[in-house]
Amino acid sequence: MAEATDPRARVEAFFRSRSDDPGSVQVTSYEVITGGYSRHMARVWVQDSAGRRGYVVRSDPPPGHSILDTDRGEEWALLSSLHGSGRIPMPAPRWFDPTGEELGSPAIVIDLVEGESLLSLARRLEPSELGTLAAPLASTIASVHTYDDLAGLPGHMTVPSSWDDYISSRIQRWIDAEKANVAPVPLMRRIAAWLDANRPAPAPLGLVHGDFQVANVLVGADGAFHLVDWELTHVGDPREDLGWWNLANVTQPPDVIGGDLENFLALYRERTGLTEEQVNPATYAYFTVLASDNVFISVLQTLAGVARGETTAMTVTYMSNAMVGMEEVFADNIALHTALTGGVA
Amino acid sequence: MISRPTTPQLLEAVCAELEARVAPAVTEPAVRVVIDMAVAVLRGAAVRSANELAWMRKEADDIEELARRLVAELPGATALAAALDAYAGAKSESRYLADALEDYHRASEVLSCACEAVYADGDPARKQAVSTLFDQRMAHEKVVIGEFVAAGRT
Repeated sequence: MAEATDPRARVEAFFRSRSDDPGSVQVTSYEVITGGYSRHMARVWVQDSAGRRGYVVRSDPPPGHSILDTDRGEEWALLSSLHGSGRIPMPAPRWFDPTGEELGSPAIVIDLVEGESLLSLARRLEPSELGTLAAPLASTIASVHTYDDLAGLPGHMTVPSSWDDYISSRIQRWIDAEKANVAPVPLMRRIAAWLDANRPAPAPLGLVHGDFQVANVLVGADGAFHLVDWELTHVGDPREDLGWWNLANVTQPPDVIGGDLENFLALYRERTGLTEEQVNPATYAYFTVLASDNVFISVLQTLAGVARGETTAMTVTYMSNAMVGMEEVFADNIALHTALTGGVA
Repeated sequence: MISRPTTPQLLEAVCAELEARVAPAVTEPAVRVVIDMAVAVLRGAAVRSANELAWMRKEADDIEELARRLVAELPGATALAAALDAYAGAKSESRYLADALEDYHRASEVLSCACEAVYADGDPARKQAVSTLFDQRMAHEKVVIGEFVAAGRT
């Protein structure tokens, strides 16, 4: 039999090989999910003699087409570990094709959350109703930040030696990445200087989702929130997630928590035990800048591939626009932090 | 060389056709997102083509002016002095983009060093002066991009 090259046919063959009744397996729907800039994702419905089930297939795009280079094997190990704990609201990871032999490129298959993204729910609500999302959202991210079995995480999840060393290493990343880039980006050196001059009160290091944003929170039919997209998860300062949320929201309105930030932060403190000195609008602004290095630097590096003629992928090229959007958020949050603290702009 | 329509006008014509004729005929959502992204990139390129040489020159001149002042005021700012020397020594009057970019890159290193020097010094007025140069750069980039909204996110 000829090897299937069509993604839908590949997926059907994949599920057949994992079914007790292969002859009954049929992929009844295969829909590409748009909006993801790092992984190729498809929503798949599978029907067999046991019933109908939905999955998401999350796979690596062709080389040079992603704005982030992360490892599916590491992601699979983490998903399995976190889901196995039963403490994190997330869809169940089901299967992993580590080589891409079956699905065309390394891919993870997870349960489909029947419902909608928080982004689409928020866009349906009236502005006055957005506040109702604050409490479940605070609980959801607090479940990640209070996860205490750090020693039980997969081996690639290193635990930094101290908060100070960790923050220093994050600041240094801005400097190193700027020096290695195809062209100078003075803003990155400014950010490094600013971050160093304005270090906040330390907080206990913990699990950080790494891409906590409105598009990565799914709302099930029962109203429960689920977190997806764990490829940037690491052990770090939990406030990074709040900061990244803030930055990502600017390009994906409406801002679910920004309308009443103080309320959200109070709910978050209540659920995590962090203090007001550690979590407040000024630290929210600080970590908006600090936490963006993962994505900002990855995008910078992939854009360098365009400059060197190594890729023409539109998702990557388009990110030159996103960089400017991010830079504007940095400037706004540096100004806000300065106004709130009287610190160094 | 045919100077009119201008480069921005040519690019805008391409965008208009992509939006009015190509995009509506595309039913595949992922491909539609690629068209949205392409139009956004082309519109930015149109603005850049009209302005970038002038913007780079203006920014570089302003950076040089401030850097000269800072070098005079901050004798310990040796990295800044070295970057300024490198910029001034290689400064070109060429109107080719590649040459202008090289100048701009050297001026950008001067700006980075100026920023680090004023943070080390701590004087608010000097920091404000450097901040103004970042504001200028940001204003130009903002004109290119306009309001960024992530394509394909629903």
